[in-house]
Amino acid sequence: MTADVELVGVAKRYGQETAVNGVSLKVNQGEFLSLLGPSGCGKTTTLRMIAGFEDPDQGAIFIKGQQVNRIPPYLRNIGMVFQSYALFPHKTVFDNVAYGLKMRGLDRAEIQRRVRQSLDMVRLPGFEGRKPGQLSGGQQQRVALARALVIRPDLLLLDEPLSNLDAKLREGMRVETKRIQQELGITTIYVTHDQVEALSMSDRIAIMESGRIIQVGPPHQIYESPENAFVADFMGQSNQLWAAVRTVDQGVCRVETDSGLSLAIAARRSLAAGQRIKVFIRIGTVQVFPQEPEEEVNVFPGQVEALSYQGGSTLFYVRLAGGTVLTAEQTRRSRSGLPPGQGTRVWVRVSPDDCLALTGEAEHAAS
Amino acid sequence: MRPLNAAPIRSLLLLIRGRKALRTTLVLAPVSLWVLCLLFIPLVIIFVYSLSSRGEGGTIIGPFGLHNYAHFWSSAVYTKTVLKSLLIGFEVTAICLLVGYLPAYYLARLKTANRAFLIVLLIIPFWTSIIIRTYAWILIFGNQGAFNYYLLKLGLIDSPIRLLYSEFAVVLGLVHIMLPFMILPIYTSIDRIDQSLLDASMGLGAGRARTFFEVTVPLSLPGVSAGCLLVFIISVGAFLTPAMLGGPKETMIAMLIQQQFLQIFDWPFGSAAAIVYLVLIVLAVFLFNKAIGLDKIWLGSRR
Repeated sequence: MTADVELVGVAKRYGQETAVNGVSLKVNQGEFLSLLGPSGCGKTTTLRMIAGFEDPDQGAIFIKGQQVNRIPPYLRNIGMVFQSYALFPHKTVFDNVAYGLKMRGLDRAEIQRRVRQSLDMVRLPGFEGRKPGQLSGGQQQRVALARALVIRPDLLLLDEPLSNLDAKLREGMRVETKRIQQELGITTIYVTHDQVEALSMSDRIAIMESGRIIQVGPPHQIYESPENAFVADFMGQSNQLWAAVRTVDQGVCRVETDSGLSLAIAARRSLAAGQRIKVFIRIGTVQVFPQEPEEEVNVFPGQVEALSYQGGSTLFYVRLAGGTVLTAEQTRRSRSGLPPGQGTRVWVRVSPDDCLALTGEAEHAAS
Repeated sequence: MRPLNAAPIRSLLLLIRGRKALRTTLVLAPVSLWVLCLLFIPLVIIFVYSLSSRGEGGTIIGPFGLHNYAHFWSSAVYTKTVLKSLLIGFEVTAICLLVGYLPAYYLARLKTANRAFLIVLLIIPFWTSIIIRTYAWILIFGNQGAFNYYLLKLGLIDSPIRLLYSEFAVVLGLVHIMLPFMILPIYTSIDRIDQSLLDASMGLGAGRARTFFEVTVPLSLPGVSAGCLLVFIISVGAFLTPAMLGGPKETMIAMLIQQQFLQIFDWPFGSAAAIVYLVLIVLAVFLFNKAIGLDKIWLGSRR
């Protein structure tokens, strides 16, 4: 596969502030790549530099093999959808979508044909005469997408396009956006702070923090094998326990947490005795039993300190001996047969495979 | 200090509580009273005067009728004054728009701390009386003024050019005074344009100039029309500037009204002129709104 977009050591500063600090990244042809990170991590600035709205202070940006650093946005042939949609409020839907075609000097018939085609694609036929102010948020989002795609761009950039929609609509637009992207096979860079969006839509995810990319990989890899504490903390909800490594033996490693819990964990990376680590246990992987289970590894007695009903699932806060409180998310099925209620005596079990041990920069990043 | 007796206030508050109508009335009372006493009642008096006749020594007597209005419209001097006022108002508005748009644009696009300073510079002239600012033009453009002095000295002319007491001087003086009223509303509406709209335009292939004409200019129209309206209304009713910088041909409607009241003591005719002026301005605003309807900019046709 050829790289459609390539960033090499790109940096951007605003005064004293470094927004983007040496980002290198390759996006393959037809790929859907998400830049995921908390607000202020530099993901939008990175996107704006690719679009040409900001000039990088350092590094180079290549689009289809051509360096574009000095090329203004209007010569880049990029389709962009903004967080606010940025539809021209004084122009009709037709004129909004036709804008890019008009700038390219296409003749009227061709413009009309392509605008219609494009509005059909986003399932908004017949809306040509409306003004953006008369559309709902979801409809505006579709028009913005149509306007970005009608010019047949080399690259589609999306800047948190769904963040202004309500939850239900967001899910629908997620599927819709992905469908259109796949239909066109267009290389897409998607900026979001929403991990569900990134996980469900992307071919690959690049996690950003403080102006750097700290991990790039397919969604399952990012979620299941985070390389450091920041990623582990950012993706999903985890119990986090500081611990010291006691023994390492044939891929199984015994650690003792600061609260005195002795845990067996699968040593997926080279751990040495005496090392300080942080153990991440996703709340969905912690099992709760009303009776003592038959397994012996990582089973701890405890007491339900609090319950939090979430609809589809229930969160159990279980206090173990030594004071550790583990959060366990139990779906309806796995909860059946469990005596509910606060103060109940229960047993929790965590599989060694579900314990992630992160070291080094992990301690540094999380402390 | 004597402790404040809260009892009357408390009972007043108790009276208001839960009575929305009463509360609304109380809130609107001061401004309503102001409009009633200082605007509506005087206007009614002026209107009644305009229907009366001038008596001995400037008194108001009968018979009552529309004769003042008939006299106003039948006399070429007065209709010419009205037309001249409208023409000067139009010229001043057009020049202010041409001269003021770019500074407003520049101010709005300036994203540095200098902006506040430049806006203060724009407002500073308001701290000086219009009379003084108008006299300054006399010093500059008078026969012995700075302008003629240097032209003579450079040998470009043999005798002073007569610049003052002309339509040119009146329009120039008015533009000078009215310019901030044009710049500020335009600045405000350009400043309000979302940067992402300009980005979107450029991303779609429009260069800076096309983005300016396709996005910035149409979205600044609310400010443009507000500025034009302000400048036009104030210019048409200008008194000091035409009185100081204009000649007899530049008599404007406000001067005409002032002459009738204070020099000729014909209050009935002056009142009629004032009412004519008022009706014309209201009509102009109405037509203006109709032509550049602001709501039209934002709403499209529903299908």
